[in-house]
Formats: sequence, structure tokens, C-alpha cells
Amino acid sequence: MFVLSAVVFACKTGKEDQKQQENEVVTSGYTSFGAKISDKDYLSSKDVLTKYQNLKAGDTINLKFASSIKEVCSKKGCWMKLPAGETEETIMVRFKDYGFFMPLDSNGKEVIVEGKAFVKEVSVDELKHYAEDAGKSKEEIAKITEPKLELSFEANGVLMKK
Amino acid sequence: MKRFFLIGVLLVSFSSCKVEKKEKNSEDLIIRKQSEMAALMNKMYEENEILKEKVLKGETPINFPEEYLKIHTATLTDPSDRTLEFSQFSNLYINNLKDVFETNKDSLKYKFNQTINSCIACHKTTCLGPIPRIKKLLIR
Repeated sequence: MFVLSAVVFACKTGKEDQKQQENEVVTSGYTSFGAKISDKDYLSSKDVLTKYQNLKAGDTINLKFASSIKEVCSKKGCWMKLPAGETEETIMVRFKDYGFFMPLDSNGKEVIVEGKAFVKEVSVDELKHYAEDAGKSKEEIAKITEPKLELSFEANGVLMKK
Repeated sequence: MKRFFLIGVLLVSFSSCKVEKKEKNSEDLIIRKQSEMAALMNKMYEENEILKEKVLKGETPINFPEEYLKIHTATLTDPSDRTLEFSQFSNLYINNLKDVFETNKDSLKYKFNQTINSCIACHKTTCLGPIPRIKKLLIR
């Protein structure tokens, strides 16, 4: 009987743990990547665009904003592109110290990212490399002939809406 | 009869616990599993951080890690990245690293940086992502 009680108790504890985890998931509703960040006090992607417009090359500011994933690296998930406001422009998000990656099937998912925002000029070679990662065709890659000023972001933590 | 009943209840209890565990682990996101090469690269990075500390103290390292030779055979995330250029850079990296283990104290820093620069040069041709992290290994 003692053994039976112990087993039932163990199962009950397991269930409670699971319930607790489910509650956490329901409360936050996010899957977390990298450093743990909160789902509060973030800017919209429209506000972020204004912040970027005020940045000069070499400036870096800490930001936290929400957006939805437009494109993710199809090889490893080691970068993602987020729309900047209502424009066609995107923010290139990489992850601190190459320390975590996003799921390969996360296109279109809503995210909150926290980290450092800056602008930088990206070389033609680098642009071609990222186009290749994104699964672009040879013809599309060949069209890349000029460096581009990129809205860059180094995220230390990401929350992705379930 | 009582004994059979108890065993039956125990079996049901155990199996239901097992099912819960499985559900808890279920994951519907596609996350790229770390390749053999990525795991080796991460290991080399961590050990090169320790090596850097030694070099900064002027300590000549001993015993070149033979495990690093797996760079010539480990499976890459994208196997098509194992090109002739990649093989040449792998040889360069291994030779530069061997030099760190064989050089005199005066050249340690130079040889170590040469090794790290060979990593960066290779990554520029294959996988750009880790370059900012690798640059942190350089002794300024």
C-alpha cells in the first residue's frame, strides 16, 4: 500500500509540475530563446524605425521591441529579418555570440527581441552569403552588386509567441 | 489475487507517468540539430579561450589536441560547404595551432593570433555568423 501511495504521489507531483509549466506557458504565451527577457515594456516596430532613423554609423542603443518574423535563415536559424514599421525595410537580427538559433519554421511568428540596435554597411559578399542562407536562387544572388546600409540588431533574448 | 491487483495498479500508474513525460517533451518547432562540425567548433572555441589565458600568462601549452583533426572528417551542417578551399583552411588552422604548441614563449601571442585569424579567414568564405564571437579570441 505504501508503494502504491508513493507511486500515486510521484505521479501527482509530476502532474503538478506539468500544470505549473503549462500555467507559465499560458501566462506568458511565449517560447523563450537566449537570455530570459520579459514580455513587458517594449516598443512597436514602427517606433523602432524612428529610433533607427536617428542612428548614425557607429552608434549603438539598447532596445526592446515587438515585430513578426519576415524571414529566417533556412540553414540553421542563425539570423532573422523583422519588418521595420510599415515599410519594405527590414531589421537584420543576429544572436549574441552565435549562442542560440531560431526554429527553421518560425516565419510569420510574432516575437519580442531585446538587445543592441545599430546600423552598418554590409559588403556585397556578405549580402550574397545571407541571400544564399535564405535559399535565394542563383539569379537573385547575381543581382546583388552593391553594398547596403543595414538596420542591424544583436539580440540577447527573444520571446516567440506560441 | 490481492497481489495481482496491486501489480496491475502499479503497472497502470507507471505507464501513465511515462506517457505524461513523453507529452511534456513533445516539441512542434523545427530546431536545427547541432552538426558534428558545429559541436567540434564549439569545443575548439571553449578550449581556445583557455589556451588564450595560457598564452597571456606566457605558458607554452603541451599536448596538441589530436581530436581537432576531426575537422577533416566531421559532418558539416551543409555538407556541400566541404570544398577544396575549406580543406585548405582546415590544414592552415591545424598547422598554425600546432605551431602554438611548438613555438618559443616570445612568439606565442603571434602564433596564437595567427591561428585565430585562420579561423576568421575560413569563416569569411563559409559561415559568417560566428566571426564576431571568434574575434573575441584575438589577443589585442
